[in-house]
Amino acid sequence: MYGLQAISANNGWAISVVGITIVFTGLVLLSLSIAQLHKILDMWENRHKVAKLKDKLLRKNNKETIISFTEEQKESARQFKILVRTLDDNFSLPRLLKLAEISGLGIPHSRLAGLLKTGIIKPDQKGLFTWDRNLFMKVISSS
Amino acid sequence: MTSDNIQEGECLAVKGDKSTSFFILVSGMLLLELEGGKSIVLEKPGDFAGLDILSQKGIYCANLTSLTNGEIISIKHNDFLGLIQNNSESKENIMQVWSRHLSENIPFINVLESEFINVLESEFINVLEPEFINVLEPE
Repeated sequence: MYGLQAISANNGWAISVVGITIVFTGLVLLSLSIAQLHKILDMWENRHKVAKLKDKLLRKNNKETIISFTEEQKESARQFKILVRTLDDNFSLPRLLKLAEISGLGIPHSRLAGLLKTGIIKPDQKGLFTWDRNLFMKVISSS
Repeated sequence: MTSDNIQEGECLAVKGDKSTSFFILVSGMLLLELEGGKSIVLEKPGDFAGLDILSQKGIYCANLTSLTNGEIISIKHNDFLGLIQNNSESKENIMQVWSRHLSENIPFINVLESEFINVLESEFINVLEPEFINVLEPE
Protein backbone atom coordinates (compact mmCIF):
# COMPACT_ATOMS: atom_id res chain seq x y z
CA MET A 1 0.00 0.00 0.00
CA TYR A 2 1.43 3.37 -1.03
CA GLY A 3 0.52 7.08 -1.31
CA LEU A 4 -2.69 8.57 0.01
CA GLN A 5 -4.14 5.21 0.89
CA ALA A 6 -1.20 4.46 3.19
CA ILE A 7 -1.57 7.88 4.85
CA SER A 8 -5.27 7.34 5.48
CA ALA A 9 -4.80 3.79 6.74
CA ASN A 10 -2.22 4.88 9.38
CA ASN A 11 -4.02 8.01 10.68
CA GLY A 12 -1.56 10.19 8.73
CA TRP A 13 -4.04 13.04 8.21
CA ALA A 14 -4.86 13.27 11.92
CA ILE A 15 -1.18 13.15 12.83
CA SER A 16 -0.43 15.90 10.29
CA VAL A 17 -3.16 18.11 11.67
CA VAL A 18 -1.90 17.61 15.24
CA GLY A 19 1.68 18.34 14.11
CA ILE A 20 0.68 21.50 12.24
CA THR A 21 -1.39 22.66 15.22
CA ILE A 22 1.51 22.14 17.63
CA VAL A 23 3.98 23.97 15.40
CA PHE A 24 1.68 26.92 14.74
CA THR A 25 0.72 27.21 18.41
CA GLY A 26 4.40 27.28 19.29
CA LEU A 27 5.09 29.97 16.69
CA VAL A 28 2.17 32.08 17.86
CA LEU A 29 3.35 31.86 21.49
CA LEU A 30 6.89 32.70 20.42
CA SER A 31 5.76 35.74 18.44
CA LEU A 32 3.61 36.94 21.35
CA SER A 33 6.57 36.58 23.70
CA ILE A 34 8.83 38.55 21.37
CA ALA A 35 6.14 41.22 20.97
CA GLN A 36 6.14 41.77 24.75
CA LEU A 37 9.92 41.58 25.13
CA HIS A 38 10.33 45.38 24.91
CA LYS A 39 8.27 45.78 28.09
CA ILE A 40 10.52 43.42 30.02
CA LEU A 41 13.60 45.23 28.68
CA ASP A 42 12.09 48.62 29.62
CA MET A 43 11.44 47.33 33.13
CA TRP A 44 15.00 46.02 33.37
CA GLU A 45 16.46 49.31 32.17
CA ASN A 46 14.34 51.25 34.68
CA ARG A 47 14.73 48.76 37.51
CA HIS A 48 15.87 51.53 39.89
CA LYS A 49 12.67 53.44 39.23
CA VAL A 50 10.63 50.26 39.71
CA ALA A 51 12.35 49.60 43.04
CA LYS A 52 11.79 53.21 44.06
CA LEU A 53 8.12 53.01 43.13
CA LYS A 54 7.80 49.82 45.10
CA ASP A 55 9.43 51.48 48.14
CA LYS A 56 7.15 54.47 47.75
CA LEU A 57 4.04 52.29 47.68
CA LEU A 58 5.24 50.27 50.66
CA ARG A 59 6.02 53.44 52.59
CA LYS A 60 2.62 54.89 51.70
CA ASN A 61 0.90 51.75 52.96
CA ASN A 62 2.98 51.80 56.12
CA LYS A 63 2.15 55.44 56.72
CA GLU A 64 -1.54 54.73 56.38
CA THR A 65 -1.40 51.97 58.94
CA ILE A 66 1.14 53.33 61.42
CA ILE A 67 0.04 56.96 61.82
CA SER A 68 -0.85 57.52 65.42
CA PHE A 69 0.00 60.82 67.08
CA THR A 70 0.09 61.53 70.79
CA GLU A 71 -1.84 64.58 72.00
CA GLU A 72 1.42 66.48 72.24
CA GLN A 73 2.32 65.61 68.66
CA LYS A 74 -1.15 66.59 67.50
CA GLU A 75 -0.79 69.97 69.20
CA SER A 76 2.59 70.41 67.57
CA ALA A 77 1.12 69.50 64.16
CA ARG A 78 -1.61 72.11 64.69
CA GLN A 79 1.03 74.74 65.47
CA PHE A 80 2.97 73.82 62.34
CA LYS A 81 -0.27 74.04 60.38
CA ILE A 82 -0.73 77.63 61.58
CA LEU A 83 2.80 78.46 60.48
CA VAL A 84 2.29 76.80 57.10
CA ARG A 85 -0.78 78.99 56.53
CA THR A 86 1.50 82.02 56.50
CA LEU A 87 3.51 80.50 53.66
CA ASP A 88 2.71 79.65 50.04
CA ASP A 89 1.12 76.33 49.09
CA ASN A 90 4.53 75.12 48.01
CA PHE A 91 6.73 76.29 50.82
CA SER A 92 10.38 76.22 51.79
CA LEU A 93 11.14 73.68 54.52
CA PRO A 94 14.10 75.61 55.98
CA ARG A 95 11.82 78.67 56.12
CA LEU A 96 9.18 76.70 58.02
CA LEU A 97 11.83 75.38 60.39
CA LYS A 98 13.11 78.90 60.97
CA LEU A 99 9.59 80.12 61.68
CA ALA A 100 9.07 77.25 64.14
CA GLU A 101 12.28 78.17 65.94
CA ILE A 102 11.36 81.86 66.08
CA SER A 103 7.88 80.96 67.36
CA GLY A 104 9.43 79.00 70.20
CA LEU A 105 7.98 75.61 69.28
CA GLY A 106 9.56 72.85 71.34
CA ILE A 107 12.02 70.52 69.60
CA PRO A 108 11.08 71.86 66.15
CA HIS A 109 13.52 69.66 64.24
CA SER A 110 12.17 66.32 65.41
CA ARG A 111 8.57 67.57 65.26
CA LEU A 112 9.19 68.52 61.65
CA ALA A 113 10.78 65.13 61.03
CA GLY A 114 7.64 63.50 62.43
CA LEU A 115 5.45 65.40 59.98
CA LEU A 116 7.76 64.40 57.13
CA LYS A 117 7.74 60.75 58.18
CA THR A 118 3.96 60.61 58.31
CA GLY A 119 3.66 62.34 54.94
CA ILE A 120 1.72 65.34 56.23
CA ILE A 121 4.56 67.40 54.78
CA LYS A 122 5.56 66.08 51.38
CA PRO A 123 8.21 67.11 48.84
CA ASP A 124 6.88 68.52 45.58
CA GLN A 125 9.93 67.16 43.72
CA LYS A 126 10.96 70.71 42.91
CA GLY A 127 12.77 71.47 46.13
CA LEU A 128 9.74 72.82 47.96
CA PHE A 129 7.18 71.07 50.17
CA THR A 130 3.39 70.85 50.46
CA TRP A 131 1.00 70.26 53.35
CA ASP A 132 -1.39 67.32 52.99
CA ARG A 133 -4.61 68.68 54.52
CA ASN A 134 -6.52 65.41 54.25
CA LEU A 135 -3.84 63.40 56.00
CA PHE A 136 -3.47 66.11 58.64
CA MET A 137 -7.23 66.00 59.37
CA LYS A 138 -7.15 62.21 59.48
CA VAL A 139 -4.26 62.20 61.96
CA ILE A 140 -5.72 64.96 64.12
CA SER A 141 -9.15 63.35 64.28
CA SER A 142 -7.82 59.87 65.07
CA SER A 143 -8.11 58.82 68.71
CA MET B 1 36.50 57.57 58.15
CA THR B 2 34.59 57.93 61.40
CA SER B 3 31.15 57.02 62.60
CA ASP B 4 29.49 59.77 64.62
CA ASN B 5 26.29 60.11 66.55
CA ILE B 6 24.38 63.23 65.64
CA GLN B 7 21.85 65.16 67.66
CA GLU B 8 18.62 66.77 66.59
CA GLY B 9 19.28 70.30 65.32
CA GLU B 10 23.01 69.72 64.93
CA CYS B 11 24.57 71.63 62.06
CA LEU B 12 26.91 69.37 60.10
CA ALA B 13 27.85 71.74 57.30
CA VAL B 14 27.42 75.47 56.86
CA LYS B 15 27.16 77.08 53.45
CA GLY B 16 30.33 79.00 52.65
CA ASP B 17 32.51 77.13 55.14
CA LYS B 18 35.50 75.17 53.90
CA SER B 19 34.32 71.69 52.95
CA THR B 20 36.20 69.17 55.04
CA SER B 21 34.06 66.03 55.11
CA PHE B 22 31.78 63.88 53.04
CA PHE B 23 28.80 62.47 54.97
CA ILE B 24 26.94 59.18 54.59
CA LEU B 25 23.72 58.74 56.51
CA VAL B 26 23.45 55.59 58.62
CA SER B 27 20.31 56.48 60.53
CA GLY B 28 18.22 59.55 61.23
CA MET B 29 17.05 62.35 59.00
CA LEU B 30 19.02 65.24 57.50
CA LEU B 31 17.88 68.46 55.89
CA LEU B 32 20.02 69.74 53.02
CA GLU B 33 19.28 73.39 52.31
CA LEU B 34 19.92 74.40 48.72
CA GLU B 35 19.62 77.70 46.88
CA GLY B 36 16.41 79.74 46.77
CA GLY B 37 14.75 78.16 49.81
CA LYS B 38 14.81 74.76 48.17
CA SER B 39 15.85 71.72 50.13
CA ILE B 40 15.85 67.95 50.21
CA VAL B 41 15.41 65.55 53.09
CA LEU B 42 17.85 62.67 53.39
CA GLU B 43 16.33 59.78 55.30
CA LYS B 44 17.45 56.54 53.69
CA PRO B 45 20.56 54.81 55.02
CA GLY B 46 23.23 55.37 52.38
CA ASP B 47 21.99 58.83 51.41
CA PHE B 48 24.92 61.20 51.30
CA ALA B 49 25.90 64.85 51.29
CA GLY B 50 29.04 66.92 51.13
CA LEU B 51 30.40 66.04 47.72
CA ASP B 52 31.31 69.71 47.74
CA ILE B 53 34.74 68.56 48.92
CA LEU B 54 35.43 68.05 45.22
CA SER B 55 34.05 71.38 44.13
CA GLN B 56 36.23 73.99 42.57
CA LYS B 57 35.89 76.45 45.45
CA GLY B 58 36.31 73.80 48.12
CA ILE B 59 33.45 75.19 50.18
CA TYR B 60 30.09 73.78 51.17
CA CYS B 61 27.35 75.08 48.88
CA ALA B 62 24.51 74.09 51.21
CA ASN B 63 23.63 73.89 54.90
CA LEU B 64 23.26 70.39 56.31
CA THR B 65 21.24 70.03 59.50
CA SER B 66 20.16 66.98 61.43
CA LEU B 67 16.41 66.80 62.02
CA THR B 68 16.60 63.82 64.38
CA ASN B 69 19.16 62.01 66.45
CA GLY B 70 21.00 59.48 64.36
CA GLU B 71 24.33 58.30 63.04
CA ILE B 72 26.52 59.34 60.12
CA ILE B 73 29.80 58.25 58.63
CA SER B 74 32.18 61.14 57.93
CA ILE B 75 34.96 60.78 55.40
CA LYS B 76 37.66 63.43 55.52
CA HIS B 77 38.80 65.34 52.45
CA ASN B 78 42.13 63.53 51.93
CA ASP B 79 40.68 60.07 52.65
CA PHE B 80 37.99 60.63 50.06
CA LEU B 81 40.51 61.78 47.49
CA GLY B 82 42.67 58.76 48.27
CA LEU B 83 39.70 56.53 47.66
CA ILE B 84 38.91 57.92 44.23
CA GLN B 85 42.54 58.21 43.21
CA ASN B 86 43.60 54.70 44.15
CA ASN B 87 40.52 52.70 43.41
CA SER B 88 38.91 53.05 40.00
CA GLU B 89 36.06 50.77 40.99
CA SER B 90 35.15 53.04 43.90
CA LYS B 91 35.41 56.01 41.59
CA GLU B 92 33.05 54.36 39.15
CA ASN B 93 30.60 53.47 41.92
CA ILE B 94 30.67 57.01 43.30
CA MET B 95 29.98 58.37 39.82
CA GLN B 96 27.00 56.09 39.34
CA VAL B 97 25.57 56.78 42.80
CA TRP B 98 26.07 60.50 42.35
CA SER B 99 24.29 60.50 38.98
CA ARG B 100 21.42 58.49 40.41
CA HIS B 101 21.29 60.75 43.47
CA LEU B 102 20.98 63.79 41.23
CA SER B 103 18.27 62.32 39.03
CA GLU B 104 16.22 60.78 41.85
CA ASN B 105 16.61 63.18 44.76
CA ILE B 106 17.45 66.49 43.14
CA PRO B 107 15.84 66.36 39.70
CA PHE B 108 15.18 70.10 39.91
CA ILE B 109 18.82 71.05 40.11
CA ASN B 110 21.80 70.36 37.90
CA VAL B 111 24.46 72.38 39.65
CA LEU B 112 28.01 71.18 39.40
CA GLU B 113 27.01 67.80 38.03
CA SER B 114 29.34 68.03 35.10
CA GLU B 115 32.06 69.43 37.31
CA PHE B 116 31.93 66.53 39.76
CA ILE B 117 31.61 63.93 37.06
CA ASN B 118 34.54 65.42 35.18
CA VAL B 119 36.64 65.11 38.29
CA LEU B 120 35.63 61.54 38.90
CA GLU B 121 36.01 60.61 35.26
CA SER B 122 39.56 61.88 35.08
CA GLU B 123 41.73 58.82 34.76
CA PHE B 124 44.58 60.46 36.64
CA ILE B 125 44.18 63.21 39.18
CA ASN B 126 47.35 64.79 37.78
CA VAL B 127 45.69 65.76 34.54
CA LEU B 128 43.33 68.09 36.37
CA GLU B 129 43.74 71.80 35.98
CA PRO B 130 46.29 73.29 38.39
CA GLU B 131 43.62 75.45 39.98
CA PHE B 132 41.61 72.35 40.76
CA ILE B 133 44.59 70.47 42.12
CA ASN B 134 45.20 73.31 44.54
CA VAL B 135 41.68 72.92 45.78
CA LEU B 136 41.85 69.16 46.00
CA GLU B 137 45.23 69.15 47.67
CA PRO B 138 45.33 72.19 49.93
CA GLU B 139 48.63 73.15 51.44
